[in-house]
Amino acid sequence: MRARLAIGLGAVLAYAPVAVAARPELADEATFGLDGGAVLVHYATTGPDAVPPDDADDSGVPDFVEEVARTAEEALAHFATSGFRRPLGDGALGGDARLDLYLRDLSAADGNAVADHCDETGCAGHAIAENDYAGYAYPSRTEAIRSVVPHELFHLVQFAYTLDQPATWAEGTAVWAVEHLYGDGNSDFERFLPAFLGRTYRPFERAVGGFGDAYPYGAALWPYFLAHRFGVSAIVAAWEGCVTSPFLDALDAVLAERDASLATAWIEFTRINAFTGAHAIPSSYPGAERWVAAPREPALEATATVHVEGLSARYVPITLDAPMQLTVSPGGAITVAAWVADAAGAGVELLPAGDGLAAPLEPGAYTLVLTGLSRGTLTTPVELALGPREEPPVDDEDDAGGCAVSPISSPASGLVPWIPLVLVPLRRRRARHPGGSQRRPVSQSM
Amino acid sequence: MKRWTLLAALVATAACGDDDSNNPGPDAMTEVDAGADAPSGCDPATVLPSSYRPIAMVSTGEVDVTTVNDVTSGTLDATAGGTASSADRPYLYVDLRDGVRVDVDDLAARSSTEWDIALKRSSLRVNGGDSGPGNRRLAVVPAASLAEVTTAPTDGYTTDDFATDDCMLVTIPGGEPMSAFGEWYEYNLETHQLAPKPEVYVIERNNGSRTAFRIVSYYGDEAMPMRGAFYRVEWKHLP
Repeated sequence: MRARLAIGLGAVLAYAPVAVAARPELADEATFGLDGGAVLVHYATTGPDAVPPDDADDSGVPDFVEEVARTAEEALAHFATSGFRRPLGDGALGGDARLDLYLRDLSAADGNAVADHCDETGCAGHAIAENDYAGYAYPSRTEAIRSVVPHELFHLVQFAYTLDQPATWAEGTAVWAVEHLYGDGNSDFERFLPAFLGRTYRPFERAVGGFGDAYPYGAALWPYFLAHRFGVSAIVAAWEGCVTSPFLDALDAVLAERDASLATAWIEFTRINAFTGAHAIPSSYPGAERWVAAPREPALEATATVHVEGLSARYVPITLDAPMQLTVSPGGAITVAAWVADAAGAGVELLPAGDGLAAPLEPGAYTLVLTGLSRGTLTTPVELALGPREEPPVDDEDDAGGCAVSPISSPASGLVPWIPLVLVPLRRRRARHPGGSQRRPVSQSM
Repeated sequence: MKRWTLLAALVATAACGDDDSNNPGPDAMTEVDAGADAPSGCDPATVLPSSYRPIAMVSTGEVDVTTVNDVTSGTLDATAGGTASSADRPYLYVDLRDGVRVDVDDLAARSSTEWDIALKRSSLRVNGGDSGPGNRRLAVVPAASLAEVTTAPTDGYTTDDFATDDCMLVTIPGGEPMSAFGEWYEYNLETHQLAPKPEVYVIERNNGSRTAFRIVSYYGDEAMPMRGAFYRVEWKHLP
């Protein structure tokens, strides 16, 4: 069973393993489906599972049920149009060949998806959603229905590929699917974002177990980023790849076909995430100023130790009133990338130096984005240090190989618009300064 | 659908030339191999789910117990900051011999022989097998009360085993790492509450000492009866 977490209600059930379960039994059950539709809504007319009886259009079917049915059809059509597989048919379970959506009085979780049976092509299942959302924190009934019904139906889409992907991908893409469907017409994505953006230090690649943690739902930001960066087709292809591979491996293969990789995409992702909340800039995610900011570590004064584990990110403020050398030294078997950016998003990559990474910095205010790139590592100390510059700043005019990095307000000619800043400085710097010398002070780019 | 113009404006201009790198990110990564794998080639802790991974922090959960007539009883606060925060909080480590918390973080616990059991939310572990070097083993005894268990079983002891030989995670149905405690609770799908099974757990140390341990309630905070992971427990040492 995949259960949807109910936000703000002290929910405890988050993501139980998918189970094969019997269909719900509803008191005085009635059913409704739109003409020619693919979904049959089952609802109770009496008892605790009963839906709100309002029937403003005198159709004989409660308005609530009609809205659920319309939402379900809209969602399924959107998922198919986007390129995803259709949920597998369940035969005659539930009365006919249509997908079955049951409305029940749920507690804590506000919906779930359940597998009925599986074969070599995937699993067929049914969905369950809350019967009235009474006591839930949604601002409106429509908001609740739009948040839950498409989410659970997208789990049935996932079942057509595999049941075995971790919650960060299954729940994350389900929340993303709702966002992709409704955009500004629904805020489920935004509600869950803090659970992810507020915990960027967590190892994303690890499985999630236990109860009540919304992180896998907030992880919708990852497919949100991927879809906009590489197209919705990348998400579709990744789910196809999940039939035979774990999702990160599937993603790596999909991104390789798009001249990228899991590592490069993750680096971009963690750097863009630096610019949310109070740190948002116009070129960040739309509306990012309304999101929570990624957590900042204590400001780096001289030396500090931060812990990095797995695919993750740490954000460290740095303010300098004199030129300094920043070094980043992992203390264990982990792979990291590091980038220092100013508040406008202009930055410089730290390059290999000794056992770690380093870059010269000019006076100014920065954020160090420390990206964890290993999978399955334990929390590992990474030493940060500010020290004397190892080389004098390079003169602008005489630096034939230097990089003048600057943010732009309009697309730069000759550059692919989607090449983010976070990658550009490194390419230039590596090409120009393979020996680590003649590095251009970052302040000259700002 | 939302559209974003994101990042197009994040592109930087640069007065740089001859750039032939197309994959710059990983080139600038650094990898330092300063670690050592476990003999099996897999450190079991690396397969733990995010919610139960080692955290470099010492638990502040209280061990509040008293001993009367050789039975120790009280509460163990394994709430770990609540459901939303527990993934980033450590286990509570308990020495049942002295009835005290052992102040080690999750990383140090991996080399500590001081603790008997560890608790975080609904995850219970024993210091042995995949969980630690303490050589503790545990036997599950069907019993509704501590009094029913007067002697230790002669067999049936197991150790924590949440990582397979090929480094795959093994969990109980709720997602907790498989430990010698096994599936120690019943989960009510309607109320979403946990109820301990009628079981007593006998923990055996490598010096031969044994302790019978029982979970009375997962909701042991009388002031906040819905507060999960605030264990009410009792235990006694067996001959």
